[in-house]
Amino acid sequence: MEAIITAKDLTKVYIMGEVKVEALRGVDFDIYGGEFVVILGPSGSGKSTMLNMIGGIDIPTRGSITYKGKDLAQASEKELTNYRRLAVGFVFQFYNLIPNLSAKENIELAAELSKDPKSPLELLEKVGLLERASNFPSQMSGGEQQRVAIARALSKNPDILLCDEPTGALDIKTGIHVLNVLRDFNKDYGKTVIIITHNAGIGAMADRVFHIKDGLIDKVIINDNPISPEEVAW
Amino acid sequence: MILLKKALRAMWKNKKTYIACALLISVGIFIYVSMGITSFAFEDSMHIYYRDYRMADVFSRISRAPRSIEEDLAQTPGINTVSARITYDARAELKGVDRRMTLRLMSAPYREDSLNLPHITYGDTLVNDNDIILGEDFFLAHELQIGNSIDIIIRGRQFSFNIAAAALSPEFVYAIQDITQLYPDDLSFGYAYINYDVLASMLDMRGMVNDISFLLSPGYEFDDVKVELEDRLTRYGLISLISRDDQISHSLLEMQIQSVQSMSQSLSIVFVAGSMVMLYLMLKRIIEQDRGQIGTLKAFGFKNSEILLHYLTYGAVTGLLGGIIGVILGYLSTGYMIDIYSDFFKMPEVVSYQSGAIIMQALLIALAGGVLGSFMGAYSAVNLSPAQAMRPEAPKPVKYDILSLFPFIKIFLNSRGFIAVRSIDRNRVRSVFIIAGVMFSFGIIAFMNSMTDMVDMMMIDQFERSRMYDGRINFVNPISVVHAVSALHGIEGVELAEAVFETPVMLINRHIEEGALITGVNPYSDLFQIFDMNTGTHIVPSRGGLVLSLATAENLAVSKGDRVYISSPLLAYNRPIYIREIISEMVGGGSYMPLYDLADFLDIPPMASSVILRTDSLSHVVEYLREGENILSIDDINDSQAAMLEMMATYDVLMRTMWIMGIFVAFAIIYNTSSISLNERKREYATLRVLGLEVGEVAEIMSFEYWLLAIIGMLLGVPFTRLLRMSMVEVIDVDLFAIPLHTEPGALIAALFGCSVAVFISNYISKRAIRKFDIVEVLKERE
Repeated sequence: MEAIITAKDLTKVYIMGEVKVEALRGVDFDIYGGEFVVILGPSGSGKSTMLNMIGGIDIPTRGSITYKGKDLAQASEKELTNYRRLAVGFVFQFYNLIPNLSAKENIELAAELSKDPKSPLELLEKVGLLERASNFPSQMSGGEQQRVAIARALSKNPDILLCDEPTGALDIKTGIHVLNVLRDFNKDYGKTVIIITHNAGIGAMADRVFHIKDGLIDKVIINDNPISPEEVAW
Repeated sequence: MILLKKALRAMWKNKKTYIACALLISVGIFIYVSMGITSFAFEDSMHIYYRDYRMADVFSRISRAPRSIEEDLAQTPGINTVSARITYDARAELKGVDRRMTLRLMSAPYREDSLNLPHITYGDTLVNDNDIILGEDFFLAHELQIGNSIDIIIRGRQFSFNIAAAALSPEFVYAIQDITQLYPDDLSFGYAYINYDVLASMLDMRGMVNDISFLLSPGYEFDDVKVELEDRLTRYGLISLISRDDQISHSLLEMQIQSVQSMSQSLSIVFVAGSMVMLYLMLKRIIEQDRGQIGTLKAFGFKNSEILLHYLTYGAVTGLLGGIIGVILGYLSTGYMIDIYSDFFKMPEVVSYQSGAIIMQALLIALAGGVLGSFMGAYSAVNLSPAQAMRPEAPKPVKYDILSLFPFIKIFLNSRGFIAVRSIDRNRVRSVFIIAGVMFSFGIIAFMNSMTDMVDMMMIDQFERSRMYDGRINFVNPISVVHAVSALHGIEGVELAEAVFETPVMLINRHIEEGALITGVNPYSDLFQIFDMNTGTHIVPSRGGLVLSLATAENLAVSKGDRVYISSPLLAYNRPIYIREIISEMVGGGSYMPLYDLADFLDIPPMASSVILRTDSLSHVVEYLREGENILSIDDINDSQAAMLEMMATYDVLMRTMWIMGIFVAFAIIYNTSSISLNERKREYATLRVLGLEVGEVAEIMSFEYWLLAIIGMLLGVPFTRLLRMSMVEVIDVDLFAIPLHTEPGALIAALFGCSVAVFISNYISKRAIRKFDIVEVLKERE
């Protein structure tokens, strides 16, 4: 497999008033096309920082991170926006749906940005929410909102789907449903899925698991036999 | 104390918004203080001036009566003091001045308890027979010195006087010759005092008087003495009998004071109410953000009242800050405001005894506005239980979707448009506030602009549509029309001359009486036409009827086709006449009849009290008539125009200030609400940025929203401007001016431009803020 994301000496230092916090301390990694990657680590380990830099919403203090050979650390604001627009789909822990758009419109909003969008209605059907197409976020449960958020991210047909604790705010049943949608996207379309989570059980679904600790990659576990979402221990 | 620190720190963090809010309050307070102090200063000063210089309550003009009439009239019940004198408008000449000048000569008060006493500002009093005291305006306008001489021409005889003093008169606080003049022209008109004996002998009126003023006894009104005085004065050829309210100078001063007072009160309330809504919106957002903290404080045991008080601090501090800024600016500008008005309203001293009270009221209004605004926003916080407060607020239920109700809107919009339209619908208080703010700003800008336009219109009305002559020769005594016109036609350079006859009458409808000046004109004149503002047409007066001004008709409670009686010193008995037309003139408001018809009606030969003329050389005419015995004054239309323009130039500064304030209000409201909205929707916008929307695309949502609201506001601004004009009409005495309700397109375009600039700047600032968003930080925050 070919690496679509390559990070070298990736370092991020946050200056919080008079205190310097090293969120990432010179990590190197590759992410391959079509991979299912889980990033595990405790709070404050640097996993969200890593995801933000892969997603082009933050830039490193030192080092480089490239997408298909293009260094995101050196990219302009416009290039980063374009990268997020075309290559990346984001799923947040708290869904972040646009409150004034219905489920279908939230997906259409993202689809409008893509050159090769997926059909919003098909995606709604895929996440089992076709009948809720005209509902607004405030009329849906957390699990439903998260499924719409995933459909929204997928509608752009991105190369990489980045998920920040996608099941963090959900019950087990809904969590499994959400993981199934993510796995299907990975398997059916051959797209890269990266999930960050506290839940070590989800790691068993991944092709590779990155363990992050104190801003460094502690270990990378290659999983030859990923399990199904239903088998994940919660 | 700790909570106070918390409040101040929180305010410091959002200082720009609070400062904008405080500035909005300060604009209201500024208006309240500056206009309030100015108007009360003038009102107080006017009362003091009138009291100290014994301004009369009632004024009358008669043909002539013996001086002993003073004692007779003093017996009238309700009359406290009677003061009789001779008054006469005479031509004056100054060395080196070509201009035709008129002085209203008055015999100087000779008793200590005389009325309408002059206040000497330069020089001393009258000592010698050839001494004269000149009105200060005229004296200063001609840069005269004490000891200079001035010539008075009466019936062809020239009298030379030594200027002994300059003085102000309570009767000429606003010094105009008559109501047709409208604006003071100090170079052409003045007043003067001469010893009684000197003036009486100049006019062959020894022992006689023609002008009597009255001071009423306490508890008496003009109406209580009117009939009795009329009875007593009629036999002496009563020309006019008016109360102080109808005295020209006083009525204009009173009108100005009233309009400034009502403007100061109403405008300031609107500004303070605006900032109240803004504070409400801000506090509501702060409370939403502080829910967790409120819960924590409650869990600690803080009382509801303590928490409410804490949030009221935000409003109180903002209100007080705005109040203090407004008071300082208002107080500092008072001197300037008083100077502007003092240019036209002349009093010995303008003093204010009420500034302390006004400042206290202003600060209280500001504080109350701030506290009330924050109370409305914060009240909901105290009703939450601690556990409830610590949970995020439940999303508002969606009752309906505006785009489902009006699906056709969707055709014109993309997803970002949907967000904007729904945001407008779901934040109604904010939306209505923005619409109201823009409407108000639009109204203010359009109104202030149209005031300038209105002056232009007055000019057009006066000088293009109505008065198309170059000069007007006013006679001391009316002369035959044929004689007047032929004499003037004979002067080289006069192309056209037409006679005009003006006569004061009393119009009577049953028990209602109204003084009026009937002007007899050539119905098909090329030099003077009656223009009706309401219909926008020229009116031709027809035989056997009267063209009446709307204000007079309203006062008399008559309409077109009705009959009124005319009482005149020229008529032996009251004669009836039909009202042919009722017209609305922007300036003046007279009554008209065809010249020859008027003469027939009064049973006199056709007479001219003035002649209007078209000439390319008025100066030649002035020179030719210099020695004319019967020439009272010569009005140059260009001088009148220049005087009007000069007066308006001073007001222009005020209007421009209000204009800028209008834009500032629009900007403050739009910017503040957009900054509140930006804070509320930070997370939404950050999400859109993560989805891949460019800064411009995200900013478009907000800009679309604000343009849409601003357009609605601007459209509503058009009728609102009309409403402002209507309220202005209420304030201004319609006897003198009629204000058209129609606003000129130019003023509306200026308002459109001003509001658009405010929206544009505000949107630009919002766009910059969106660009500066730290997406990572925003997304970390839990809603």
